[in-house]
Parts: sequence; C-alpha cells; structure tokens
Amino acid sequence: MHFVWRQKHVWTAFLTGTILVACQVTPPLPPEDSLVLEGERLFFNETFAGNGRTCGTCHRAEDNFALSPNFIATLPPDDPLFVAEFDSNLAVNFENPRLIRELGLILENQDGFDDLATNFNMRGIPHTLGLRTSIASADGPQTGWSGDGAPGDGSLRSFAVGAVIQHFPKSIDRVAGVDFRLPTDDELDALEAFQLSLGRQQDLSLPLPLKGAVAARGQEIFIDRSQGKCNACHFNAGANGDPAIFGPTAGNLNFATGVEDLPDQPADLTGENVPPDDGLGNPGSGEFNTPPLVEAADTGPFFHNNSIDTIEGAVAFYNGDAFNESPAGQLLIGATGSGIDLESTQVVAVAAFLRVINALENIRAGDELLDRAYSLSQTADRQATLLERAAFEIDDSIAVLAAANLHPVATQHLMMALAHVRSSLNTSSASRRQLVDDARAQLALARDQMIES
Amino acid sequence: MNKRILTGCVGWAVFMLVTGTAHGQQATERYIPIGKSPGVSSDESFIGTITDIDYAIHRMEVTGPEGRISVNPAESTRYYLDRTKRKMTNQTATFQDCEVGLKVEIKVKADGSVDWIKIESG
Repeated sequence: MHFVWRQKHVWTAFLTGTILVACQVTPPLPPEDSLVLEGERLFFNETFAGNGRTCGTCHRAEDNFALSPNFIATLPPDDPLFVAEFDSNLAVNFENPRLIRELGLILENQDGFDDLATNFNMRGIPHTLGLRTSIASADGPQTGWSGDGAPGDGSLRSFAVGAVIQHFPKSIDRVAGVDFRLPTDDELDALEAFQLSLGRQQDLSLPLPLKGAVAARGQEIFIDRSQGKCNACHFNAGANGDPAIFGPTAGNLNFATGVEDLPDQPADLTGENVPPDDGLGNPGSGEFNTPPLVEAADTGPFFHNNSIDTIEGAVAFYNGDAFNESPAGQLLIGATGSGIDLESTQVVAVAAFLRVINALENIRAGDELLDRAYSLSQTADRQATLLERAAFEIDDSIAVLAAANLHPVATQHLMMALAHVRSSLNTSSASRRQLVDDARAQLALARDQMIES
Repeated sequence: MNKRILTGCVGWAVFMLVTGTAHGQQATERYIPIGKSPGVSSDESFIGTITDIDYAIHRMEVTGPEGRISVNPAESTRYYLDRTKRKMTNQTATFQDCEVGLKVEIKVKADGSVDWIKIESG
C-alpha cells in the first residue's frame, strides 16, 4: 500500500516530464521594496548570533558582491573574514587564513562534517548578481559552485541557512542556539528578495549590435558552433544551456569541465593542504555549476578554485587539454565534431566581447542606481549608499575596458561620470542633483561609443 | 498542505512533483534541528515518534499528529542524531540509532524514497 503526500505547491505532476523551476522564481520586486530593503539590512548587518560574520563579509557590495584577493588585502586585521586568525574556537579546521588572504579561497565542507581535518575543499566566493537568470533548472535550483549549495528544499531561499551553519558559527561544534541561530522564515524571505534584486533581471539577447570591431568579432566566435562554441553552455552569455541543444527547460546546468585537472594551480603551488574537489554530490561527479558570463570580467579570479586570474586566461582554458579531454569537452566534440581550438587573437577577441558586455552591464547598473537615488524620496544616507554603489559600478567599467585598451573614448566618458558621482557625494543636496544628471549623461555617451542604440 | 496518511509501506510515488525538490546541500542539514529544515519541515516531512521498529527488515512505524506511517529507508538514506536540545553537536547516525519512543523527522523525496531521518537524541 502507498501513502500519498500532497504538497503545498499547486504544480501539476507528470510522469515523464518536469516543470522548469524557473516558473517558481518570484517576479521582480521594485528595488526599494520594503522586503528587499529588509533583506539588504540582514545581508550586511545580521550575524545570526554567530562569530560576527554577515553575508556581506564575503559578498561585498564594493567588490561586486564577491571577494577578490585585492580587496581582501585592504581589510583590517579584525575584520570578521579573518575570524579564524583571532578566535581560538575557530583556529583549527574552520578556514585556511593563508589561502583566504593570498587567493580568496574559503573552506567548505560540502561533503560532510565527519572528518574536518581532511574532508573539505577550498573554493572562491561567487558573486550574487543576476541570480534571477542563473540558477533555475529542470532539476531545481542550482546554487553554489557545485549546484548543490542549499539544505532543506535546496532553494536560494534556504541557501542562507547552509551559509550560516558553514561560515557563521562560534565554534566548529555548530550547535543551533549556541553557536548560531537559524534565520527565521521572514528573514529567509527578505534575504531571498534582496539577492534576487541584485544585478540583471533578464538575460541578454545575442547578437548585440556592438560597435567595437574586436568585441564584435569576439561575439561571433562566442556564438559560432564551429569555433568558440561558448553559447552552447553560456546561452546569451548567461548561465543557461542553449535550449536548442539541451532542451527548452534545461536552464542552468552543471558540467565536468576538467578545471581540477589543470597543472600548477595557484592553491597547489602554495604547498598548503588542498584536497581535490570532486564537485557535485558525494562522491562527486566532477561537475561544477555554470556561472553567468555577463558579470565575469570584473569578478575574477575564475572557476570554483580561483585557479585563473584573468578573463583572457579563463577563455584560453577552453583551448587546452584539461577542458577538451574532460567529459564536457568530449561531449562538445561529439556534438560539434571538434574541440575548441582558438588562436591567441581569437581568445583575446572573445575576452574583449566579455569585457565589453560586462562594462555595458556596469553602465546599466550604475545608471539605475543613480536613477534610484533621485526617483524616489530617499533619506540622505540611502541616497549616499546608492551613489557610492553607482561609483563602484562605473569604476569597474573603467578598469574592465582599460585593462585591454578597449573603447578609450568611452573610458574617458566613464571617468568623467565617475568624477561627477564622487563630487556629488561631497556636495550639498542642492548641487548634487545636477552632478548626478551630468554623470548619467556621460554614461549615455560612453554607452553610445560601445553599442548601437 | 494536507498529508493523507495511509498505513502500510512506502512505495513508489506516482507523482513527479519537482517543485524545488532539487539537489540540496546535504551536509549542513546535519546541524538543522528537527522541525527546522527550510522549505521541508511541515511541508515535505513527517514528524512523530517511533512506535515500532524491525531492524532485520529495516522498517519502522512512526506516529505523529498527522497520523501514522511506515517507512523502509534505503541504503542511501542519511541519518542524523539531533542533540540540539542537549546543546551538543549533532552527529551522523544509522538505522540502528532509531529506537521506539524517540522523536524523528522523516524527509521523503519526490520518488517516495526516504531522503533523511533526524533522530532526537534521548
């Protein structure tokens, strides 16, 4: 005999098919919605009675909601990120301070907590931008580097619970009510709303009418199934599989791309204990989750273990044996008849494409933040916060373009925009509005240099 | 949600409700007390007390506020010893740690198999 469970959600069940869980992702809320604002407050301020860390300890607004070694180097020694260095309860088997500081790697026990001394992996901190477009799949939400990052129902909403348990406890005993407290349902709702509000709310639609010749050529290679083939797994430069290849409901996928087979990985070169990371599941399948590429160029280092520092290096990875001999590489060869084999100029072109779309996203996000600073009745503090974040975005766009000598005229406009925003932060509110308007005008001019309207 | 409980063995569910019953990070589940699993407790799990157990055939009967169920956990079922109330760290466990009289929470997957069982430490 059977017992039948009827679940709370009212989705129709089918024997042979599954329903894309993307349908469950709640529609966007206005960015200044009270639930989103509460989620923001929790994200940056709530320690859940733990060791002093918050979500924002690792997912820094100033660093694209991720955390790079360069940014880590600016932090004071008593920052909660370094809690393992000054709290004796967390001195052993909680973090590796050297790997945090040098490579931005955080300790994860995704395969269990039975043997903390040997059962762990070192992983980079992924950004939390564009989540609305990048975690839904036919198999349910894919969170974290190996697509299995949340306890409970595995949702983004539940992810915070796992994060508190893994990263926030006062001791490695991890006793609820002693070493941390669990987020409430309302807090989980707010945190989810805030995270979903960050960054892009929809995917691009390639090809874009780019004006730069190198980036435009890079886009061609990106899409071309006989050359870059990138679009197969990063459809529209996002995180989802090409529906024409993987099916209409595939969504975000996991692949075994062979990153762990790279020689001379930075973490290994330190001589620290860095166990092999077998990815999704326990034992692992070698698969890791596909991140979106629009946000890539300013959120390095890359891959789950921060093994590659530059976007050019990340593109070049797919030329190498580690990828082409991996299960994902072999899948691609079987489907397309050949592996990926780009010349160096082509690698640079694809990287240029990724830099340009990242800079365009920074411009979009920066302009949106400037608009929000004035479109609603904001407190002075809130307005300053929005202006500061706009400055981060514009600063990133400059760095991303300048590093590859892309769109120098646009870069000048961006620098003027940044100067206006920074001036606005030190100006009385009467003059501030004009400076913000001037900044937005410069952003529009920069954008016009890069893409057709 | 209404949970209609029929006495008997857990068989294969005929439904393919895949509403967020995706891969969850299994590891931190260990430290979540009975009744607190996000999106699972009270929606996709059964909480009750073990009223009968047969170690030889790996079957146990659990009775709770919503009725009575009988489960045959699989080899892949994970077991956790919930020692939260004793302010002690939670541990992994086995079917052998299940005893009549202990409170448990049972999570069932979409295919009807038992994902995990949390056992409240006596």
